[in-house]
Amino acid sequence: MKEREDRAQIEDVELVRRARSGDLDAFEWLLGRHQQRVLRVVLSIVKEPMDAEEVAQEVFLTVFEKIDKFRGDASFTTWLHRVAVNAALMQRRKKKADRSVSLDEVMPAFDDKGMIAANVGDWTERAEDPVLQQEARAVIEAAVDKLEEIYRTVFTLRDIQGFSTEETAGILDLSVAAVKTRLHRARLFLRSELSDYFEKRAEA
Amino acid sequence: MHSCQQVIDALGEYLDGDLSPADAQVFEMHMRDCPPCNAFFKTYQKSGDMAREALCEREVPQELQDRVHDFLKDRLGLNK
Repeated sequence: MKEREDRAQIEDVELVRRARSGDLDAFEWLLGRHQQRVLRVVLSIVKEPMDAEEVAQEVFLTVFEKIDKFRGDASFTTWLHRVAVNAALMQRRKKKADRSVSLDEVMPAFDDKGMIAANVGDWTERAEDPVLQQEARAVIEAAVDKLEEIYRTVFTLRDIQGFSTEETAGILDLSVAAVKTRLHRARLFLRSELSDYFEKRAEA
Repeated sequence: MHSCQQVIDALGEYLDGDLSPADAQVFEMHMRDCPPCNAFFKTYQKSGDMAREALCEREVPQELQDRVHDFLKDRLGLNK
């Protein structure tokens, strides 16, 4: 009797090969393996569960239809998430106009020798206060929402969803250097928004 | 990497472990000797930690997963 296959041991590339030859079980295994993460990524971009459902359905149908065209030069995960992120961004653009904020003032003031010329407050201890933490969550959500799409998407994939810099570059079809620059700008903006909040809170 | 500006530009690379050992050492020495950069670094790092905590725990509702799966089952004729 043939031993039952251990699904967890079969690599994506093999499941993709089987799915391409019409094996629906293989496609379902792929789905089971990746569905939750894809949904989490889509939800982090579109926010509304109903939108996420619509996008995820479309993504998996697209992947099913186009699996023949998957060339295998990127990993299946990267390809799948590229399809998912693009679809989620399209959905978000339909719902929300991008109101990009200026990222000019996220750096401290420097003198002509490049040394910091202003006072920089350290609010990290105050951030441990549970009441302020609760309020800060809203500040963070609003700050990420205010970011221009090119920064927000990199920040969400890399820092929130935990993809590596290289994976993020692959999904977004960007250079690693571009991912690093955008990520740094996004983090600087977030720091600036939280600093404003904690400074105002200290004055109150 | 001797000015504050150069150190602030390298914050992300330092945190992600992308600086060479020599540059990382210069970075750390600057941080030790420069209170404003040190405060900037601590708040930059803390902001990232707080964002991860605030945003990454968003779990996908089981109901949503089930609905997507049922939809695909119907459309594609999957078994389970």
